[in-house]
Amino acid sequence: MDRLKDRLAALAEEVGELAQPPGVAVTVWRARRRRRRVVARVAGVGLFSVVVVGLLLNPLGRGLLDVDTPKPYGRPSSPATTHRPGSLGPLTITFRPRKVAPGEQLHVRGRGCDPIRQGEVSIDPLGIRASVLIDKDGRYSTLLTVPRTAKAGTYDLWMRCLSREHGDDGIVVRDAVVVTEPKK
Amino acid sequence: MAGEFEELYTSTFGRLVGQLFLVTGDLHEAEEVVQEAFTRAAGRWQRLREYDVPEQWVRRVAINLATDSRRRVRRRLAVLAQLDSEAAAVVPPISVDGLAVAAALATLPRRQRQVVVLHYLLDVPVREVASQLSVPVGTVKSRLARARSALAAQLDVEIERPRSGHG
Repeated sequence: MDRLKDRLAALAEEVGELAQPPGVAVTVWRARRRRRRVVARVAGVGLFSVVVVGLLLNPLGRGLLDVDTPKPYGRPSSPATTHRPGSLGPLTITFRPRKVAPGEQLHVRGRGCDPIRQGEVSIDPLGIRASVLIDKDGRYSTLLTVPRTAKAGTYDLWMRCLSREHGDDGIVVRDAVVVTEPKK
Repeated sequence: MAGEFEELYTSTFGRLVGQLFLVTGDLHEAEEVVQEAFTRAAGRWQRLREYDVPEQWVRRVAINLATDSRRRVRRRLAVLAQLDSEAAAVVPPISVDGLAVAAALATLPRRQRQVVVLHYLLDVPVREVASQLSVPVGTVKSRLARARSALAAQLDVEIERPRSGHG
């Protein structure tokens, strides 16, 4: 009885003699071609990644679509409230009308300031500033006149409550007011 | 580089194809996987030339390629696409005894053929076979046991018990 190893070896040797090896140059050429492809693929993936990351995180940090788009001067996305802890709730500001023509008046009111203190309402950058008195409930109300020379646009309306507790920075709230074209 | 690699290539290609034929049962496929293994070796020759027996690395890669299921599927699809009579002529003109052994091996699953070749032909201990194929030792032993039983039933051969590899 033969050993399995001997019969396997005999078959392998028999078949091996029939093998037709391609020239070694072909094998080396295939290896070099494959290496070039791998290098090209890695370089391509790297370049693509750099481009994508560069577009997503451009130096201005605003993303691809924002690079050349000017930011409109408009209503802030959220009121810039720097309200500090108090007993009267958050500082609020409302005004009527929402759109005002040059020369017209704006009624501004709100609440949340420290009671019986002084506050200041302003419209930037129109240079309008007015002091307001805060009542015992923390409410305030005043009338502002928009200059006749004001150009149409959207402006920031600020209310700053002054208080001994918070110093001159006080508590601040902001909203946007629209100045229209002058009425004829 | 060319001289050493060419020497390895020319001196071992036929032997490796013969061994891989026992795993694949297909001469063309055996040549293909050996060629592919040599292509990979050429790309790493600076490192492989430092090995004691670079042929072992090539054989190991070729055997793993021979059981790469994705590669086998691709090859079968290619063969089906050709539907060529030559595609079936993959059994080389060999002796009657060789044909009997090849036919018996062909009845085994490819993974059993793999361990048979490594262990019984190349004398690789069971533990090393397990390490090379990244499977548990018990898996190798069970594959060998099934293969041994199947081959013994078809071939009048003496088959030794597997050697675990210690000592």
